[in-house]
Amino acid sequence: MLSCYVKRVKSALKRSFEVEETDSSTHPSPLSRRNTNPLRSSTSSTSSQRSYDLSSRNSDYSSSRSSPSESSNPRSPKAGMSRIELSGGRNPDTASSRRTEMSIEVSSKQIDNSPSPGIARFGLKRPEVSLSNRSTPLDKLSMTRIPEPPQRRAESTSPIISPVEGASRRPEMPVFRQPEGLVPSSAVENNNHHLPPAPRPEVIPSYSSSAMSEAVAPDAMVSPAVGVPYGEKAGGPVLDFSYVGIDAILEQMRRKAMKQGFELNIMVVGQSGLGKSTLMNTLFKSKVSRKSVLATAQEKIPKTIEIKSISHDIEEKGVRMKLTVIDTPGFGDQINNENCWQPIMKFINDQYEAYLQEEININRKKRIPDSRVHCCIYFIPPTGHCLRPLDVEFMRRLSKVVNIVPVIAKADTLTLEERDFFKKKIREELRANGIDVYPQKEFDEDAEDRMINEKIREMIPFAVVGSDQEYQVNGRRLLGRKTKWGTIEVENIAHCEFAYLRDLLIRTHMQNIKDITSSIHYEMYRVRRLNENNTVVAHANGIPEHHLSAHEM
Amino acid sequence: MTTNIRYKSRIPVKTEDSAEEKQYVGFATLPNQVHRKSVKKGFDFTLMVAGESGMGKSTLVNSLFLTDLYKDRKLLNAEERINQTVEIIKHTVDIEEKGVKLKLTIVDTPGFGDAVNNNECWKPITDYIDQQFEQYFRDESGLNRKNIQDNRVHCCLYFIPPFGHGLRPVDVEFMKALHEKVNIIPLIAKADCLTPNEIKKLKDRIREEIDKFGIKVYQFPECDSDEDEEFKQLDKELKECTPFAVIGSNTVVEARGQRVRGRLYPWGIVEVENQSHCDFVKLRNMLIRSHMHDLKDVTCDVHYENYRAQCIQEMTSKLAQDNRMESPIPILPLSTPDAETEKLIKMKDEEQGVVGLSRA
Repeated sequence: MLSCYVKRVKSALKRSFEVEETDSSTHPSPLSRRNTNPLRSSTSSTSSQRSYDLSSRNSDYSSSRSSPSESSNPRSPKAGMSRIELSGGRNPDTASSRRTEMSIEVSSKQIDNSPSPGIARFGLKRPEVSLSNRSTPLDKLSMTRIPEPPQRRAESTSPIISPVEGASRRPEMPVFRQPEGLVPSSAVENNNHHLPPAPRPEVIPSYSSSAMSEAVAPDAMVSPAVGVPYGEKAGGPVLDFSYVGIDAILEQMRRKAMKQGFELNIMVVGQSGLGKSTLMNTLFKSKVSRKSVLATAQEKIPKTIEIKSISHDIEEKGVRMKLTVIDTPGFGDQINNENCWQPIMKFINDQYEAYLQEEININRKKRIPDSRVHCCIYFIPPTGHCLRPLDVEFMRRLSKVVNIVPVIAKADTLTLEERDFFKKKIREELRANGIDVYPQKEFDEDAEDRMINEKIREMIPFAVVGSDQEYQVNGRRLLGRKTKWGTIEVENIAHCEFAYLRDLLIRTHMQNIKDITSSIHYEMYRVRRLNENNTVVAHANGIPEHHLSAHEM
Repeated sequence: MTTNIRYKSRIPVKTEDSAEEKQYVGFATLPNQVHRKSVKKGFDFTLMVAGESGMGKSTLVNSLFLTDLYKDRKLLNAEERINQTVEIIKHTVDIEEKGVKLKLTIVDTPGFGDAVNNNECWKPITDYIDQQFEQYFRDESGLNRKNIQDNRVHCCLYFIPPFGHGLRPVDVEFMKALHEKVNIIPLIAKADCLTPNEIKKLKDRIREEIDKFGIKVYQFPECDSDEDEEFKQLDKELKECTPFAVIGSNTVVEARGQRVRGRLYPWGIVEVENQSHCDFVKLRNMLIRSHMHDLKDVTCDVHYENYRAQCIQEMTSKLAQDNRMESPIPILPLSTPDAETEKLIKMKDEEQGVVGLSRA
């Protein structure tokens, strides 16, 4: 009996994965994100409604979990992990099949749950709650819409699960429900929701009242879908006897990552007045820039370059991120700008050094705090002609130690033809000078990567316009700039390429950026350093020299 | 010019009033005669444009004078610019409108502010201006003064980038180096990237900083008290609007049913000649229609005279240094030494200038 339940669970799991696969294929590439609104996806995983963007690219799995009967439902491809709910089946369901899931889930749920009460970033009590009352800065625009409908839907469909629903914001998962894509990545939203064909009396959200109500809720909802224990659902799951369940590791990884949270360190470099702080605020939809934080931020040009680092903890759909924005006021503003890149290079190398020291320590911390600069956004003034010598010098030097993403600042001063011409000129000059900006050609891993990255490479540098003010356009409130001749909408790709930049940095390539920093730039630094102090380090750590060299890339 | 118009109305008409005719001498027609003569002779005007590359200087000049002075321009890329020094390039064009001829010279300064190290990047510009003054000085003191070519720079349009929060160090240094040699008119370039609020803030900021650093930009002359109200109002508006936020365009687009000079964006069309979009019209009116002559006057009366006085003083002090008789009339070298030697002499004079001045 148990075994057959297990089998059913496994098959449900497998199916959910399968379904997701198809969904992922329909998942739009990051470059066509226009219609997707990643923030809207709701995670249904019990692992506390957190959507975890497993892969940095668009190979996210949709969070849908469809029951076999629902396999035809298109699901939002994104939320790879949301599937967890489904498979996780952490519901406290009483359904027999569910029971097995439940047992699995419960434990994991408890683990997952623990951080959620503790999460109170930006005044948010719990991610789920925040979703509905939109307190998270991240969810500002897009999120508000999403939570409502799913909830309602959930409620309407299964009165039994009502307690659960109340708790969960994101009804997802059950196959029947509309699983929304996971938050990150361009989720395709909303798949159809189908109500479970039959009521599921077994589904008794006993756990719903637990702390993780939402976690529970999804489970409750999921369970019916998954379990189909008594074949009430139309077309019961097909048992798959060859399914092992290795892919459940993804779920575990996801859970762990959600617990740990992420770190991202972005550096902004450019002359004063190019809109760096505004762009940061626009990217993360909250006041994360130096100007917003430092009350005494005057606009005086400092005599030397300073490096100012400001950290924020932001949260979205249960995913926690420690975002650090490193600002460099004074860069390029003086009359004599020679060697103005040196303080910046020194800072970057210092971060690598700090990490290295932690790494070669004998008693290492379990999780080394990562303060390495993952990405450096370089602001090019929109002259419309070509790069300036200062730009070339800076980028040439820094592209070797950090990922550089060049952007054309204040692009609302260029017409479309001028923009294209300028971009072409810039790309030529970058090529001519051998400057490899992110995404670097040499780090493409396979053909798929190359294809996606080629598309991006054809578009860099992105022409961006930033704004933190909202205006009314066509009845909608949008971020933009209002001038006498029109209103420039920041998120409208016909106006500027901010949306592409945001997708690249946050929704699709964030993890990739971090990987390249840690596995390539950092390793290069490490090799160099260790070669310098080969003997010293080896002796200090009691490691024989030949071992050290074995660790080289 | 308003003056002309006003005087025109007073052209004596052969009236039947003989009594009045007896009182009337007739020199009120002098302005007309001057007017006629100058029209025949033609005017000349030298305008210098300075600012970083990519600020839209050439586009603005083309828009102002409705010409295409920069047809065959070749723009250098970043690599070629690294070691480039500031050049001075002159473009001359003859424009005629309603019988009035204007010989317009545009002095361009490519390379200004582009390098990584911009120390003293204004030096070639100040040297050029001094050279022109010196040339005129020499001509004026020479024996044959019939056809003096006036190449002195009458006005310098300085383009301030709109991206900053005010004046940058290089802007301040440039203007301080030039404000006593030429009329500086600061402009905010590429003003279409600013919203009206931002423009206002930036203008206030720049005005403050100009005061703070003691930069003497070109001031519009005060209105005479007998000017009419409308003129005074316009003048007041003009003064409050500085520095002008300008947008230039080489293309003609269709807007509101007419063809206008403008820039076409996905979100709207910027019209260069629309007063609510930018201050281009004000600048053009000021520069060409109302204050061109005043700019020339200030150059002749103030800047050139300053230069001349300084030059003479240096020469006198040099003579005094050499223990020669102090002659009231400056002794000009009859031969014309080449520019290099002249410069060396001047530099030496400057070094000893302080001592000389205290004695003189």
